[in-house]
Amino acid sequence: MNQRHIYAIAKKEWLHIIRDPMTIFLLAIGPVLMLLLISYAMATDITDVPTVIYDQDQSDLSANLVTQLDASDVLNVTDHVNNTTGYEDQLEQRKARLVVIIEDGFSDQLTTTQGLESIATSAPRFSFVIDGTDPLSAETALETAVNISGQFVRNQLNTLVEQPQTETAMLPEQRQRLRQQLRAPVDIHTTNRFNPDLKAIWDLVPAMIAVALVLPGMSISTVIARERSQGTLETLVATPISKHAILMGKAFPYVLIALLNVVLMYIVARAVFGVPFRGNLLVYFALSGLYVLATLAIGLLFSILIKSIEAALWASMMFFLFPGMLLSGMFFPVDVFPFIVKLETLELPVVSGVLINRGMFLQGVSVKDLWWNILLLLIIAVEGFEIAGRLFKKRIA
Amino acid sequence: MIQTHRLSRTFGKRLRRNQITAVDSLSLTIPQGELFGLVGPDGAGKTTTLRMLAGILKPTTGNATISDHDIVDEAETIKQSLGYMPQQFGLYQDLTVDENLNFICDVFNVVGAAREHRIHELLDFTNLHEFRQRRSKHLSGGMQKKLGLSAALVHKPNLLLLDEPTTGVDPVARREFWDILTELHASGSTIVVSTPYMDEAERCNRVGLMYEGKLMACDTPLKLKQLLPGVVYALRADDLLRAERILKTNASVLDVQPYGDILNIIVPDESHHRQLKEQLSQHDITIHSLRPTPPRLEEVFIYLVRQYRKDSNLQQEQFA
Amino acid sequence: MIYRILNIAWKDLLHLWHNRLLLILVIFGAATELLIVGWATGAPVDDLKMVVVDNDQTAISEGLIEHLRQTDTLKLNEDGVDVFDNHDNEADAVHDLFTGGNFIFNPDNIMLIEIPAGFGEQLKTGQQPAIELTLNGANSLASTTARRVAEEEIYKYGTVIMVQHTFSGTESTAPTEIQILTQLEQTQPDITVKYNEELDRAHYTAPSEAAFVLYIIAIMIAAFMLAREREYGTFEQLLVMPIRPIEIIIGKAIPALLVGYANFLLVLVEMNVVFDIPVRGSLVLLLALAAGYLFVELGRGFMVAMVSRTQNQALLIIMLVAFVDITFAGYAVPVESMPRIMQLLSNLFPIRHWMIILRGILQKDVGLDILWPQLLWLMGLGIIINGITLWFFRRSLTRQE
Repeated sequence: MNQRHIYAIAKKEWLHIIRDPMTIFLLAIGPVLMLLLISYAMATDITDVPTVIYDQDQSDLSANLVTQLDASDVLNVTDHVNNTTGYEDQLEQRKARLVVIIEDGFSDQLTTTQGLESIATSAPRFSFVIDGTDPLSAETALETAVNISGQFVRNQLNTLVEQPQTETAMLPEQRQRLRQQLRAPVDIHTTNRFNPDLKAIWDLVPAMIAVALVLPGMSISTVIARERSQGTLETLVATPISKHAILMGKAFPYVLIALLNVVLMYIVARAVFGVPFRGNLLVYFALSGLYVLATLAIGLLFSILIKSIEAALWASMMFFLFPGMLLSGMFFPVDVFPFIVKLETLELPVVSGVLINRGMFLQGVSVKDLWWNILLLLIIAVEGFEIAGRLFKKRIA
Repeated sequence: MIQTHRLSRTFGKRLRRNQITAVDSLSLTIPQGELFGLVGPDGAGKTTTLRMLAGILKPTTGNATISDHDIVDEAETIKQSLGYMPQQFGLYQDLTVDENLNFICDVFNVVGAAREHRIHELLDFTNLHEFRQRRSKHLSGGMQKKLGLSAALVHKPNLLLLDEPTTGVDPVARREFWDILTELHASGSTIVVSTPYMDEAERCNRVGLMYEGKLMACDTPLKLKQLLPGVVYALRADDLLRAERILKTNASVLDVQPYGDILNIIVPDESHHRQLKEQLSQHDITIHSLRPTPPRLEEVFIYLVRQYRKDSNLQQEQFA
Repeated sequence: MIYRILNIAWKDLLHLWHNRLLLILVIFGAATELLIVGWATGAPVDDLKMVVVDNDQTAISEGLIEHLRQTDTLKLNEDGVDVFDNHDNEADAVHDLFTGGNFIFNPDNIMLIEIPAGFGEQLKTGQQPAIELTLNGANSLASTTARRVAEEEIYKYGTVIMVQHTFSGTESTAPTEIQILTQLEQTQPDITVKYNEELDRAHYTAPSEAAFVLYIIAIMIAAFMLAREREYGTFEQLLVMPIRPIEIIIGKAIPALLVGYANFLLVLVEMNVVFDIPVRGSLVLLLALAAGYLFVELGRGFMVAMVSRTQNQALLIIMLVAFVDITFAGYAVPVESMPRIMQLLSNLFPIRHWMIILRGILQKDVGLDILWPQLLWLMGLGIIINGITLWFFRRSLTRQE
């Protein structure tokens, strides 16, 4: 009989959802839509950072350097200025985020003997000003500019060094010393495991799946409050249906919809974004189900604890959406948060969701690698439903 | 069947000074098979009483049993054979009549052929056949009430608790509704109905009059009417307003109750008839008619309430 | 007219007051989120676990390891080397090192460094020995940071060893490590960081979160208050009263404005005190523009409420809209880095302009002379959005819901 009850509630809940085209659209398509839109917008590798050049040297060599800087994907030379105010204004107006100052004497240093002497002891004749407002892109832009400039200088010097004795006024010791300075001490080979080309999309899309899946959890947070406000809760609690049947029945359609979303988003991730999937598909769906159950458990708790619909929605938003992007591990790894913040993230299913998704898509992990996150989600789900069951009373007030 | 012992319910917090006593020490007994009317104005405590009996609201103090099951500890058992109809429309607005009934059938485990048969019966009963596929939000008020009643009857409960089932319903539908109730009663169900309509109360076996949470009187309609000391005269005249004022100064008049274009005057006996006429003509009131009329529960109720208020005012003054 | 507006405003304020739980959640909840987010993202990226496989085992290779270990950023995981014993091939071992951690007690390893045999000798004689760096690509911020630090340390250490070795066996004394490093430092280009000298990530994320908080409060309260009335049917009542639709909008906007404003002030104080992000520009200008922005966003909230039938729907729509909004606002990724189309589209989102205003006044000292485009956009968008909402109101009057 209990099964029939759960089924009855689930069927009724399903009809409620279906009868409202807006809701069904949002629940069923919403997450996928979010995945598509946001991933496309946000998965930007740092490119086209607006760069301004202050070329005091005005030589062929400096022009060459500028061309090379512009040729990089990361930087985009937008303007040349003639004085300091010129670039300071641009920085202030956000028209430029990076300024490359090529100082007077740049080409001298690389072509005359005195210049060459000074290379070992003094600063290069170029400098940078960077807008530190967004440190992540600033560091990347800076790194690129420094690398390109440094490489440029090295290439110049290399050419010089290898020129036959007759063409330059270089002494053999100078030549030897230069050769030595030009050589990097160590040859570093870097490989990136799991994401060799460092594609931001690969990084973002799996995490976004976890974040988008909080929508069902948020929608469920008003199911009890809604019945209360419509007056139907009174009828329901006057019947012999058990409170567990009510809760489980209500959760059921949302679980189904969420799983449907998982399938859709998986397809989008693979077919549209080309993200590799290296884990076990069945395990992935099982774990996604667990993740969904955890978010629904919390949503259900909110729905029982909070009587007013708006407050319930707000609370669920604060729990799921506010920390969603920045604390989920999507952009900043949770590893580096202060310990207390890490503790707080324990209760956020989305953090485990991000790790599971990234793990299964990119890393090809198996259950034993994810045991900690699985355990967390299990605890949240089980405890959540249990507390919900205990707190929910079949009463009006 | 139903027995309550000093059943009480308060809302709000005493410290916050907004505490209301909705039901105050209610003790009554309703035997099996009775059609019991719970009567009183808004805020009298009828809904709260019914909710407590239905097991969906916990009493603050006192207790009650239904068929010897405690309403708090054994609420779920009671709900198995209880049919409850709340005051506001309690079914799902975006579901059709059919879907709502099927849902309730599921909950009460009415399945298979029995379900089809039962739904058919209920739709017959309430004349809702042609609206079977209509969303309940598109039903008229009366139809919604009938649907609510059907939902309460699905499992043929032996106790029905109906909270103002006819409020807001047109007279024809009201009549139909009470015909249904009478039939149910005839077949042996115990029914507790709350209503603000005194004329409906007349149809009950016994009536409980509630006011400000207290049970002021509880007996058959006939016996209740006998509580009214004296005789009721109905006055038709011009300027009833002035007449009321005048009569209220008359020491031998027990009560004056306006009722539309009639003024009901309660006097100890017929001997006061002439005195009334004289008093009124003295003040230049043209009497169209002044006739004795059989007392209705309405008059009884108003009289009782006024007595009660007079007494409690006296008490307050004593303590002031 | 003013009277009617104030009437509606008062009524809605009462609603809010009766729903005190909501108010508390709104104001303090948002402030707490800001705190947590700023704190979390402001934390320095350090203690990244790395594993070093030393196939050289000389004083030189050990010296390198010691230097790496002494950076704040990197943390040497000595047990990591044992993992290699448990696997047949390197790929599996690396996989094991980079996965399976939890984020509380035992995070994943971020980097594997392999020092080849003969490293020491080759380094001394300037033969450019090769070092293999393998990064955990699933953790991009951490691995990028680790790589940068490792590269820098290896480069510095390598130079020191090489230079010192050049001098050994000659009469002149070898320069000390400090001397070499100082000289190396001198040959680096001069870098000036403006506006966020510490390159503290919280400088970017805290204002993002602050702007977002104001945005979400404005749009949600507006949407909820209106959606609730519509759901309960009291909105119909309002429309048939002698109140003009525009008065209804303004009246309803006032409580939302107040709450949003209160929250905004709290957030400003928080940023100043906790995150050391004072208002570098004109506070008055900021407050004025904040009010203007709130009006626009409230209009959007009302618009959402008018197209949804229930509060739940309104929430779902806002959630979708919010994610899109904050993306185009440059919350997580600067707009300049997005595809050109996105950059153009971003102008249609009020929060984009608000973000620019907030950052501008907070972090630089910009005035209206620079922000005037934003003001224009906000005004334009505000007129359009509220215009559409008004149109919805009027339509409700004639339609039957």
